[in-house]
Amino acid sequence: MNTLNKISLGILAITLTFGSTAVLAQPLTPLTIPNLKIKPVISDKQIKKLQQVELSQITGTLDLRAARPELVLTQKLRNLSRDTMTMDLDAAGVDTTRLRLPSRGEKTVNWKLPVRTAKLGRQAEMVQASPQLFINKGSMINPAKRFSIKLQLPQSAKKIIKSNKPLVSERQRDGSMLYNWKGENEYLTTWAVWWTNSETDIDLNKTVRVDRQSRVATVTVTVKNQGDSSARGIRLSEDFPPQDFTGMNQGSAGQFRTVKGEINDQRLIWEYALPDLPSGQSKTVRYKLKVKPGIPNVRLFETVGLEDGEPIAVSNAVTGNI
Amino acid sequence: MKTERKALLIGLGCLLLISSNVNALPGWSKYIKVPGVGHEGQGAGMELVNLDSNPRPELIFMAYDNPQKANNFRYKIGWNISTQGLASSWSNYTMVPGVGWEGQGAGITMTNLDSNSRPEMILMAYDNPSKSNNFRYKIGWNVNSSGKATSWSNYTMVPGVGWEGQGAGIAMAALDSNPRPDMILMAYDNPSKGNSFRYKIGWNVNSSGKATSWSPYKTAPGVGWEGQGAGVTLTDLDGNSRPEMVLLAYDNPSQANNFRYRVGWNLNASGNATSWSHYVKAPGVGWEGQGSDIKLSDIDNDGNLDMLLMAYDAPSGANDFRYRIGWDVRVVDDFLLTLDTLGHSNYQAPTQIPSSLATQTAANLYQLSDSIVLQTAYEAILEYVNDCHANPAAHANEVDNAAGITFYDVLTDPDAMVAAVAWFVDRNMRWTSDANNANILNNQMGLNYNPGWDFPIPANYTITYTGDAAFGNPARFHGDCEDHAILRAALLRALGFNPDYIWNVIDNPVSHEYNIVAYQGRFRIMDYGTIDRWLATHTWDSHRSHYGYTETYGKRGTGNSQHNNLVNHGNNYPDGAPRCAAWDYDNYYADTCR
Repeated sequence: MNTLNKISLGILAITLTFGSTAVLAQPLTPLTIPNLKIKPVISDKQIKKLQQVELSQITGTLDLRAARPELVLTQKLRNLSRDTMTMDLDAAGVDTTRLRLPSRGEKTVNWKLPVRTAKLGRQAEMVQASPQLFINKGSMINPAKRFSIKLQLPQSAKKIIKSNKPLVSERQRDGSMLYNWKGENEYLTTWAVWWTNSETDIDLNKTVRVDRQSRVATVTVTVKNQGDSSARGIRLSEDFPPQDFTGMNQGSAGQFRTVKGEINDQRLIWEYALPDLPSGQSKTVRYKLKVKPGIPNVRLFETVGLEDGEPIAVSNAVTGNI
Repeated sequence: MKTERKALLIGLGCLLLISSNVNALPGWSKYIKVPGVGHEGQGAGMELVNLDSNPRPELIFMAYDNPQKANNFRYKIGWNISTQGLASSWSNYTMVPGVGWEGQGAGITMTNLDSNSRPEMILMAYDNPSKSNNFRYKIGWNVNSSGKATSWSNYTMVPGVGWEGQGAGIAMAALDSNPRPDMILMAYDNPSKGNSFRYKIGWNVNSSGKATSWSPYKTAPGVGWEGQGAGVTLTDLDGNSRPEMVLLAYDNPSQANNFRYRVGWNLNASGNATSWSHYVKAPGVGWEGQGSDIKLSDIDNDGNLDMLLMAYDAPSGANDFRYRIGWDVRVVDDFLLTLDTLGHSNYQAPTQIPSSLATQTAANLYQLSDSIVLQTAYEAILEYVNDCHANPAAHANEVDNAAGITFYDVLTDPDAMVAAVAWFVDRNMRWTSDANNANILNNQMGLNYNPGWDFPIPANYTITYTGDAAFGNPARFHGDCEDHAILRAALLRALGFNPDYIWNVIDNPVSHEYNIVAYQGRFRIMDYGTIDRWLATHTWDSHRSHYGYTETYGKRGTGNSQHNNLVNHGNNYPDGAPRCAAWDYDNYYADTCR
């Protein structure tokens, strides 16, 4: 790890994902909304047609070493019906292509799709790519049978910060890593990968434990410096809706303060300045939250670590629910 | 103002009198219901004709009935239509063998083709094989005064105008100098986006009912993306001796249907209109139809043309014909353009990016005309479905909580849509302040976006600009409470969710914005978290809903009008109507108003 004059590590905006086990309201009276009718934008006819089309195989590459990276996809479309089908295909940012699929037939469609890249600062970058296919402007009804899309990061990349899809990595002959997002029977959605070009190597882990009796949640964040030099000026912060939580601890485990938005939406901010973290060392911080009554299971987002305001690490998982 | 009248065009629609350029808009009758002729139809038509010795005309309703196998035409006759548009009695239906197994529209017209003085009835269906459609018509010769033909021809097939249609119609007219009548066959073609009318002309139909030749099809702009019936009629509206063609489609938005028609002015001898009017919208007669038609006639004998609009309404059981009359149709320059402010699911609302509090309308904030909103809405479903595959227990209280839920399941289930959208926004959107977003949009993206009060962000901006790079905090979208609420509502609307069942509401005192949404038969809070987050409780001191807006009602703000939006629209109270004497937020939710 490079020697860094100042490293700030923050845990930002741990927005709550409220979990799934809320208790239902008292017994419901009969349905009360008159004439509730919702018509999806896809017509029945289109749905019938889409049900007869299968994405039998997708292979692709996203090579970020290229000057203008593209998501290069090969998609095999299978017509499950007994009728020949004509359809308009399009994918993200690419003009419509008309395809005629013979009865029970399969055809291959090749795409070069634009991807979105952005710098998150001096060292961190991200890419977003969508392998979604649209038929007659409707999304696929059937999941992709099999897919495998490989990602080659830029040569400058040192580490993936986060991917919103599970990746399998393999080292290539030249020493670089090749990442593969693959699976079966899945609906493909936008793939987003964040990486850093920094040598800094920070691991974050986060655990949430709740005492159901006292309704106190203890959040444990462990920061480990995997690099070979000290990390300095680490800063942690998180925020919560104050309607749900009360901050409990002060002083050595950080400060809570309430921030009011311009007009609405107050937030409860927790902040903590971590001391320097030598190479190979780790630091664990615990803070406590009082969970207000009536709050069901809550899943906290992953923790994001910042270096000079740039993300350099994201915790792999958050263990435990509130 | 002209009051010139002309007697009518062709065939036996001898009631048609023409007026033109009279400055008023039609007033519409309530619709009149007539029992239908079956449970499922694939097209319907209507004709006004005088069959018996009574001088009042008969109104014939026809539907192309769709049993499991071969279709058949079924028509019934309303005898002696009064000047109020009511029949003195209705016949039972007469069945005529159809022309195929599947149709996508049908029409009826009456004319006199042969030397016999009794009229012929022409029944047409737009047959729908697996590939190109085709028109098929058959002729009932010399219809007697009881409405029965002496014989029926085999059907004649005419190549169609596309692969998929959502309605069809037939009319007879004299377009060229040849004394033999010309036949107009029209279908409402249905590509993936906006529909269009396509018609072709059979020139100089002989006494056997065959045209000497057929024109290539001609196209007129459609009136929407989805229709459930169409019709065509010709008349001379402006009194210049050239006929106008009026094309109708029964537009099928997310809730009540409506009739939409446009006028092709002064068809020349080749059947081409010199110009097409904007479309005019007339109130529909139900939520689902299986055919429709239009006729123009002076029904009340006041010298002004009246417009009959009919749809073959399709409830869950037996269908019925429903028609309404627009009395004294007048022409105001070009026909007026009206817009569906209720938010057709496919309707591309004329939106702008908000630039002031006054322009913070739901349409401007949802930006449904930007395809990125719909694509993201699809993605919401797909991610939700993938997540359910992985962890069905995580959705235990939701409507569709089983593993194996599919995209289709969600797309066709409004409750599942709500669950999916709430889940997706919560998963992918993180809170940030308005100041941070202002910095991103204006300083980093250079948008010069200044919406006024409270910095609400349109859904397409949230999707496009607020993700990832914002604040070094990887998430697809960032915003505060109103941005969450706007995105949720926009995604639901993009999927076709009923606009009246998704509200953005603001507390009093102003502290928070979130959604009220129809879910599991009730209006529920939709806020941070999954949809079941707020099923049982509104424990926040927020959720004092006081101001509200939808695409239908008002715009964003905290004035009395926004308060009145909630107060005055009782369908948005628990149990469908106010049950508590005085309205306030405590009475808004079912758990406190009992």
